[in-house]
Amino acid sequence: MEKRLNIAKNLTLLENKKEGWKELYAKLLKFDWGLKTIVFAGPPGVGKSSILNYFVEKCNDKTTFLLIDPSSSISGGAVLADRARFKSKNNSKKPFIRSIASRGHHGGTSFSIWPFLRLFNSEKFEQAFVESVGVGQTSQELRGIADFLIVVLSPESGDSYQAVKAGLLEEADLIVINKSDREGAERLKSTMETITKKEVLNISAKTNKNIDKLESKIKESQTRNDQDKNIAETKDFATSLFLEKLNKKIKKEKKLNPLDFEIDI
Amino acid sequence: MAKILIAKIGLDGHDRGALLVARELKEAGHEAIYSGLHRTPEEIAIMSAEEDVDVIAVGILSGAHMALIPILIEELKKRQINKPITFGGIITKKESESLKDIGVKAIFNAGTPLQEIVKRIEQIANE
Repeated sequence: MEKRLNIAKNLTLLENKKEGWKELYAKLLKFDWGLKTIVFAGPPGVGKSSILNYFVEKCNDKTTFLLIDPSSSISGGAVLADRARFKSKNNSKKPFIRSIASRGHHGGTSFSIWPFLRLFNSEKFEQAFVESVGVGQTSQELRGIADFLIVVLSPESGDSYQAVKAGLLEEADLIVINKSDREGAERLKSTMETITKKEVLNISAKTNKNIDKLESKIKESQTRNDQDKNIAETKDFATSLFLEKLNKKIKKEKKLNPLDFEIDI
Repeated sequence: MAKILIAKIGLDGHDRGALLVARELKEAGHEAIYSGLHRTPEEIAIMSAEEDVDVIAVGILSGAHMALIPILIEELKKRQINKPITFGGIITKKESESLKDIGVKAIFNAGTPLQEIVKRIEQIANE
């Protein structure tokens, strides 16, 4: 438990950028990647948490679940209720579960996702399941963090016009149609297959239909090479740091010229 | 901004109130994590540690609070987790006193205005 408490405290340190976060992050950067990150993305209400519930039951204490929910753009607050869907587990080797508020990040994830993944990597965790904010059309950052990117849809998730557009579907490694016990799932599957040329799996988190197939797809998936990840990390995290500073500045000074930020790097 | 675990413990299916408190905390700019229903005290202890929350706000409407809250306090102690607990539910004055005696920081009886709950939780988080 002591180790877990420590991890939790360090996550808070990184998330809130408390004194010492930079030194910690610098240490974490020295570890090679051994962590495999599986991202579940898709619109709100398609059943991402319910699918993950299955994996929470299956996974041991070398796995973390990072559950991102949106922050309010009005108050800055958030209600994080992804883990509420997880059933209780009677196993001493429980995965580490952490809820994360997006805090104004627009890419379906949070500003602290890279430091978080780094921390679990340094603690020799083997897998991270990330549940993104309910998003659909743009989410480049999700591709950046994912070794294996799963886009979850439901039978009501749209048609061929949606399938052909640019965005998240293009980036997916696997498309999953949940709630496939409902009408329309087979039709959506064939539409998605034809237009995206990607593998589409019909599952049901309610009845466990094909969820074993999803599990083996995840097991068989490859991790990306370290260099790709490092480039994505630099891009995303550096952008995050800049945006955070910019937002603070905007709050303080009302009159700013956008060209002031056309800076040399 | 504070981080609060809204915790439902035991055989109790009523979470409308818990969700309203969560919403109110969100609107006041805080992050509320909802535990979901039917959790054991042990699970709540582990959640509070993993999420590193500032306050554990327990809601019990089954009448079992005098049995469950001491177990929660025990489970936290066992793991050396040092986090303040508040209680919301239907509770007698006598019971309130004895819960306060064992360390519960605040008691919100049925009918407490939401804003008052938020204000008190903010105070406790900042202590």
